[in-house]
Amino acid sequence: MKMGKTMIGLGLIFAIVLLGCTETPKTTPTPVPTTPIETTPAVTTVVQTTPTTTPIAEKTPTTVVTTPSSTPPSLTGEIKVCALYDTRIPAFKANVEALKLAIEEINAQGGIMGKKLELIHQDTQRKVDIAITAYRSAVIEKGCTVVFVEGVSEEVMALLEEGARIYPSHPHIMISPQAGMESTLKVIEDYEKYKFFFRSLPSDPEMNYKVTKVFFDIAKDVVRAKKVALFLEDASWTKCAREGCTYNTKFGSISSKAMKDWVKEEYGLDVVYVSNLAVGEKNFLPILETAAARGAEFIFVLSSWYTDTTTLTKQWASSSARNIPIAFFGGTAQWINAWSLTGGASLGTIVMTYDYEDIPLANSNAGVIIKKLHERGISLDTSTHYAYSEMLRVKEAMEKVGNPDDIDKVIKAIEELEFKNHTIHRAEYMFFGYQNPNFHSYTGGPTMIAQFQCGGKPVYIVPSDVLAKGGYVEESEKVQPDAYKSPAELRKTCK
Amino acid sequence: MLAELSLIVAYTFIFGSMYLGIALGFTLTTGVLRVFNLAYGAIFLIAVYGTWMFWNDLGFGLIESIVLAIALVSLFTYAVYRIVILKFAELEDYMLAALVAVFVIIEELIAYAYPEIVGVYLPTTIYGELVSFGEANVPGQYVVTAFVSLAMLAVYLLFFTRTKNGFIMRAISQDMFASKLVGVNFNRTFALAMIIASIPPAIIMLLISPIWALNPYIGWSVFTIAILVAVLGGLGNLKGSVIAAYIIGLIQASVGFMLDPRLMLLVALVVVMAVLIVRPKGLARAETIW
Repeated sequence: MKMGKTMIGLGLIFAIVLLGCTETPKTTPTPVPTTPIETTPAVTTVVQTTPTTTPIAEKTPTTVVTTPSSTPPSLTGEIKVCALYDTRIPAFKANVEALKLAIEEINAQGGIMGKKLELIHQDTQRKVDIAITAYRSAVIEKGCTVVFVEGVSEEVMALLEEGARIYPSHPHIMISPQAGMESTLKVIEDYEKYKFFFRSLPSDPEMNYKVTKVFFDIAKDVVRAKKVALFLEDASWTKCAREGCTYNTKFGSISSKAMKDWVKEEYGLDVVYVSNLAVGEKNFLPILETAAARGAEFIFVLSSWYTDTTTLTKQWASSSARNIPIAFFGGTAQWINAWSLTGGASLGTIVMTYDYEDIPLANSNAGVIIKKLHERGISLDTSTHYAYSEMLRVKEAMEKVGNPDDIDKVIKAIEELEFKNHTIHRAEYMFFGYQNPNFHSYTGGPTMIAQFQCGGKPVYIVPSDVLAKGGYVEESEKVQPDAYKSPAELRKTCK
Repeated sequence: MLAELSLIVAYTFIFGSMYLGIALGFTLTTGVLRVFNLAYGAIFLIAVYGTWMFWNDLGFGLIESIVLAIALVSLFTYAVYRIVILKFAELEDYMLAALVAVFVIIEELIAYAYPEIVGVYLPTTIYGELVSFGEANVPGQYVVTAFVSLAMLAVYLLFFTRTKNGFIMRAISQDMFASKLVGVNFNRTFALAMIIASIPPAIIMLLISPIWALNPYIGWSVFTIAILVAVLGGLGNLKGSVIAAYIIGLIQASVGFMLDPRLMLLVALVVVMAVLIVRPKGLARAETIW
């Protein structure tokens, strides 16, 4: 049991390796954005929709114009749906469960044109090589015509190339909540090659601007803050918020200023502190204390699953910043059981959450789905709803086409479909066919934001006018921005 | 500036003391057994998830659950000693691989039984208010953790300087061969050292869990701190570990509050490397545990 100098070297090497382990690279997570807006194909700051010669979709949602396929539909066999997810990640497990639920419901109603759906789950371990093998196996060997893929950028980018190679011989559809504009740009720039890919998230400028704006409506009009601190996850999907961004496409240009700039310009809020959060960070006290020392009156955290929002919440509740309202974009903070995860430290936190059975959404099915998934032990973030809803959209598209096997036409139908059955968003925000930089992506808009109050009960505090302006009229009458209470007040009153 | 200075001083004390508590057991294992116990990270997990299991799943009271979890941790370290360390005593490379394997197995088992969605949380907060230090405020629970850590150090020191078993362990750490000649019962002493070493990290983890990350994979990041402190301190020297813990605490507090919180661990690593280039055996040479 001798221990020599080599031990010291070994120790250091090990520590460095561990350091690497704790800092997940910029893998572009599944951020968990949410809703969209305007009926026009609006994009963040600048949009010039240039007409294209590519015969794609209409500019506004229309009810399907696809003509029935000339190929007679086969009424036998199954439609295979593959789900490529690492289910050790709770959000990805939830996506698979949501797909299972959607497929069970579709099958209970007789399937799609008499064909039953079969869900095949394959583990990717979030590794590109394994994901590619699983994807090839899913499409070529297992015959999946619809493939759902977890939102890990490097995986999706690799699968896009693989998919383009095998699409001619094995037509299929790929859907992923991948954050990062590059996949959308590929579809726009080379439609014929990448048309099989749909991204169930808004484009980056939309995500970092339109989807996050509502938090600052709350900061200004509900919390009445004047000074804000911004904690921005340091991942590729937040580039627009951290630095600003512009993307030029053949459908026009889309851009967004850095968050610190538009928050100041549009809301008149002083940004007193900006800190980038390292992916995997566990020690948030220095930034919380600094935000408090700089006099912040509202903290916004642009987070995804790669930011440990549970720890951040616990440390916030223990720090000098505990009386500063803190708002989370994504991560475990979105779950209703964030309350138990943090031992109640989430009291007073403001979160985008679609995990509450009594959520005030016009679509009453949302609450039912949430309940059903809760019964399966699943907590939902926005991507869970996306997975469930996209399966329903595929069904509608296949039925409109009249032949589930004619994938080219199904893709066209998905682009043209005015999909009204999305559990949490309005059709105009989910429309895939806009001939603008949101093509084959969602469009950003206002979201449902709640504050955790006594006992972890979420109270939705989005300003009514913001929701109404975004088209959520029914919802705007149900939210309670006046019910907002400061964290200090809640700590005093909640026992 | 004064506020910044207050924060740096306060958090140097907090981080330093906490890191010391995390590394105490690892220092003891390397000092007495001369074993680089790569299964050490599993102790943090077993302490927290064991307590949760006894408390939430088996219905014991919180205090009983903590006691039972610490007993479980001790049992685990004893089993590691008997099954892995003794078995591979003469095959150091294999021993290291086996110890890592033990850690990963524990981690995966816990991840399987208690995935994050379960919502594991322990109400082990002793003091939840803020404590003022100059112009800075620090979480009361951190202050409690820091003092508990120092108290455990004091107990260790008393043990090594006042008890027979402590003397024996120091003797082994100074000269294993001579200790053997005078009839020291190695197996018994090693097993005792392993068990004693497992208690401080378990207690520290239970104390910081209300304000620290808690998931089945947290063992690695806490273990990183233990390694850094032990390596910088001289691998197995308590005095060295005390100095190293506060140096790393100072670096992290300074970098966190004056430079960029993202660089806290990186700068600490770079400084440790730089120190080791100058002093390859760490700050205090591991010729004795004290």
